[in-house]
Amino acid sequence: MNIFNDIGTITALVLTLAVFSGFFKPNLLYRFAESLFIGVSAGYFAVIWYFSIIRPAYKSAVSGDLLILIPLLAGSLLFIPSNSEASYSKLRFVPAAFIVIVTTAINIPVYFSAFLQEMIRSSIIPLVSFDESGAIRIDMTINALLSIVCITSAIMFLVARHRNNNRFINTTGEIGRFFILVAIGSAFAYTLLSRLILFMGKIEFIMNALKIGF
Amino acid sequence: MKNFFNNISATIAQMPQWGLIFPIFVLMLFHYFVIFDKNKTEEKPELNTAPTENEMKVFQIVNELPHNSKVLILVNYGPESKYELESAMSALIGVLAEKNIGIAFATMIPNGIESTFTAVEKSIENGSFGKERFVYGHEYTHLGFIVGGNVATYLIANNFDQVKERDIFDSSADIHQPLMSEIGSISDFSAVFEFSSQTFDGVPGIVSFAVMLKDKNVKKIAFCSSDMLSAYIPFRGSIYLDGLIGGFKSIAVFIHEFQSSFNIEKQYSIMSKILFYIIILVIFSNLTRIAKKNKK
Repeated sequence: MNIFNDIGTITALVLTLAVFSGFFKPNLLYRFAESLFIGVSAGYFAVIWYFSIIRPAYKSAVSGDLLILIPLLAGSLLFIPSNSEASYSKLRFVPAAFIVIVTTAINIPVYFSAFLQEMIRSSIIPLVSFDESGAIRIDMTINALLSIVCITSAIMFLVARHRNNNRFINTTGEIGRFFILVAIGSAFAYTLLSRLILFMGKIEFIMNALKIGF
Repeated sequence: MKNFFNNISATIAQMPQWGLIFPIFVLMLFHYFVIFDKNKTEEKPELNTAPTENEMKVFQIVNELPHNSKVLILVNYGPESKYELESAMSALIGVLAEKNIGIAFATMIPNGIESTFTAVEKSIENGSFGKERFVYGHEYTHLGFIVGGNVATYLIANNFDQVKERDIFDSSADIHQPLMSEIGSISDFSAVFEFSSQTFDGVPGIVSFAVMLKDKNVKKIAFCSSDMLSAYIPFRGSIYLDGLIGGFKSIAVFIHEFQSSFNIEKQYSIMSKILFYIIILVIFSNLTRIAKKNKK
């Protein structure tokens, strides 16, 4: 018997039940668990950031790598209060602009390459699929053709919002709207499924903690 | 008939919000205690689903990984997807450990650190290999939290020699981690796996990594949670992804193939029944709406 494990399990069990009690109505136990989780996660993140960023940077600076002071100084500039009237307060825009530019520079090739080029290519090529015996694979071929219709009509939907006097564009745009709604619906359904699995996992945990079931 | 629907719709309208969750809870307890109670029945639930072509591709990649090689696992999930991805990751660790394949873990989200160690513990508990055969620094290592999202993927893909300099415990790679001393660049890994429950600026981590990777021969396999499936699935046949295990069904099939002791069949069976219940609930609520319209 490990006393620390048992205390940990009992604490986790009580907190899980406290959070579940919020299903019925917010109560004191639920609010306590909620505040505790916020506090603990803030503390956890603070420790992770300290050990992953601040400590290695400090060690590098102490060991003579003074280049680390440049990002350190730039990072410090972000903490200048935005409501300050002093002329130096605009300095905070320098690191912010640098972060935006670097992030954009890295993301643009990724977006173009991954989303525009490869995502479309992999959805529609090969247009006609064959199995090992040389017969056409109906499912994959329909999938590729449907992908072309989806992509084209979804783009048309965006065009139709600005040029709504063309009947062809409007009709294709309506089909595109349908596919976009299907995509949003399926994303929502997948999220629901994911949360249900989490819920099921917590039930399993309660069962194991109470030593019932399994 | 109309009166019947109207009465039911009036009853549903009076129910509080938690009333819809309550039957799910009751259904789960019912399945745990009555249907799958191991003391009452010998019958084990079966996974009534065969692996798809895409899942078979992942099985093949995992099975063909050479003995004594090295793989990199990017752990980008937190507690919100623990019940989906942890078992799959433990199963994968088990397979790799059996083949003496060295594992380097890295994470791009803070929660990934804890997720890694709990998955390793679970795999040691359930695997046929002992703790003494799976030693930190020799069989596996953790390179820690690599900050920066897509910037971090660039670092991992092209400047791995900098990433591997120190591990999560701040130990030098060359002195304290024999495993990492054999790795020069990302090309020295046989495969890169990602376990993910989130994207970085809208791009899946493994896709961002693959775009920036110069050596296109490294195998890239992603495991994603159900809520990320719509972000990952468009890349399934692309050059950026050699294999994808996405969503609970695929994960269940993977675990069933590689780690049968996890009893995933039971979870899958309960989940499929709950989903069936939800579908019935959706159909039923739509029928009541139609009945309401007819009344007007």
